Amino acid sequence: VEPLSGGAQMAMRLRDDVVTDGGIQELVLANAPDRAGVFFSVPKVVE
Amino acid sequence: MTLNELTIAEAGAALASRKISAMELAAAHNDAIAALNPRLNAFITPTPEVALEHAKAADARIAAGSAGPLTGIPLAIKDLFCTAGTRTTAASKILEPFIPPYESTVTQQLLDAGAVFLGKANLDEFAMGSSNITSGYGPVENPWKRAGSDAKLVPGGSSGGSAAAVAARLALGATGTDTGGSIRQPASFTGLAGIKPTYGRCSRFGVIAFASSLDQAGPMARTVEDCAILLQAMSGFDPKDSTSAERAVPDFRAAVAKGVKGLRIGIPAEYRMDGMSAEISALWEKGILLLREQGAEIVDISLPHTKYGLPVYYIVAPAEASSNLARYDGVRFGARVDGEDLIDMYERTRAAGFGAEVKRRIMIGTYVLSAGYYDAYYLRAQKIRNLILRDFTEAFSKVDAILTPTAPSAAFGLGEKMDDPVTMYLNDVFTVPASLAGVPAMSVPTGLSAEGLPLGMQVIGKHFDEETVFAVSAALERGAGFSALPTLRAE
Repeated sequence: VEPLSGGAQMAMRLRDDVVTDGGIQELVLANAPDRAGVFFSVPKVVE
Repeated sequence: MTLNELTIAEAGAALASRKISAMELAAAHNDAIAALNPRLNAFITPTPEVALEHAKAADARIAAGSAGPLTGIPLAIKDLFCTAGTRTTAASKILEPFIPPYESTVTQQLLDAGAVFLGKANLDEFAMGSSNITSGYGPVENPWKRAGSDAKLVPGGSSGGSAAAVAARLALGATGTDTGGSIRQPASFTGLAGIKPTYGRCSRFGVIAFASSLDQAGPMARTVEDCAILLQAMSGFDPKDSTSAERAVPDFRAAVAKGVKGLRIGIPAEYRMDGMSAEISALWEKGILLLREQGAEIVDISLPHTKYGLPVYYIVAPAEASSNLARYDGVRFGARVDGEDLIDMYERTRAAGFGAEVKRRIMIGTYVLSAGYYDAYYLRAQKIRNLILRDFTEAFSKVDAILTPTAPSAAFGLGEKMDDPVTMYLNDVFTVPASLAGVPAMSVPTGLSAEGLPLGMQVIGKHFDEETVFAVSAALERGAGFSALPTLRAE
């Protein structure tokens, strides 16, 4: 028996390899718990 | 009849003929929410101002003669659908501060159709649960009561807030999502109609993911026809969801009136489980009789792998959940708890943000996906999932639809079935097989328990044949003539 990975009764669709969105930096960062300028901010990782 | 008691079809007609305005309808529902939500907790975030704003636009659209079937119709939106500018929590503390910058495709389509959003409805945390008690924002109370008792009952889950809101007349309809029964079981517990369409029928874009191969959006309403009207607007191909089906959407409302004459309805032997209550058994017989009286032919069928449905579901769904929920790390969105370093921050954030049931499923899912156990659990479950699909495919070569009970019991009390998670998981026994196979299934209120609580029957159809599901469900609805009302409701 073949494993069934999903409920969709169809082959996976491919789309053209083109950029479909972007230029929404502020929206992407709007929910950040902490940010530094245009970056997400996290505790220090490298000593 | 008050504005809160209208069906969507009736309200649509009254709005179109200018007998009522969308503003009046929205205000009546805002008032009902203000009065009853403090007790029912059906909404995590009521949005009365948004509702009035949408209603104003709807009235303008009606005046301009460009109204659709949902223009001015007030709805509850399960708080799993991202709504641009309105907080969306998935009933989890980890998303308490989250305000989506974008709109889910399903809610966008409802807005395009002119619907009015009353607020974000409560649910089990990340849609994981069958009673709405895992919500990080408190449980929902079922507006129905056992005869002669004021004990609080659960509304079912995970779409329990949506169910309670529509049953208590706080909304004319609602969006739900169904991963293993989360639309159908609460619909059964609250005397509503609710359909999980075929996997791929409604876009999952902007619906916060639980188990991506199972999650499907669908409507809940007080009649089968109202569900058809809602599903019409919610359905359709969306390039933003890679599993969205590129198929035309049929006229669901027309399907409601088709009738069942000559249809073959399958009764699966394996759903007659040991220990099924006499009440549920009798309800099933009643459903069979109602369909036979209207000209359907009843056929005994077998779905031999039914007993593996729950074990497979409780491997596949947690596996996908553990992967999907990895994104909640306190970095890009959601709540954060600071720590000594990055790892400590992740751990504290997830420990504080997730509730016990979500943590349990993440751990089960991570375990079944781990290198040493992947083949023994996850891969094996996927193979059995294929056998469950094959059961349905074979059954549907003989019948047009399948009739089963929706849930093993009526709504239970808040605090019952809470000792052992497996007891709670058993609620999904009749609903998970259709989810695993991806076929459409609908719950229809068909009778009352001895204690006066609603009980639903489930109609399962072929892939992308929601039309037959609606036809059979509407026949059951007509035959059953379900007219009982919940104790707590807006007058």
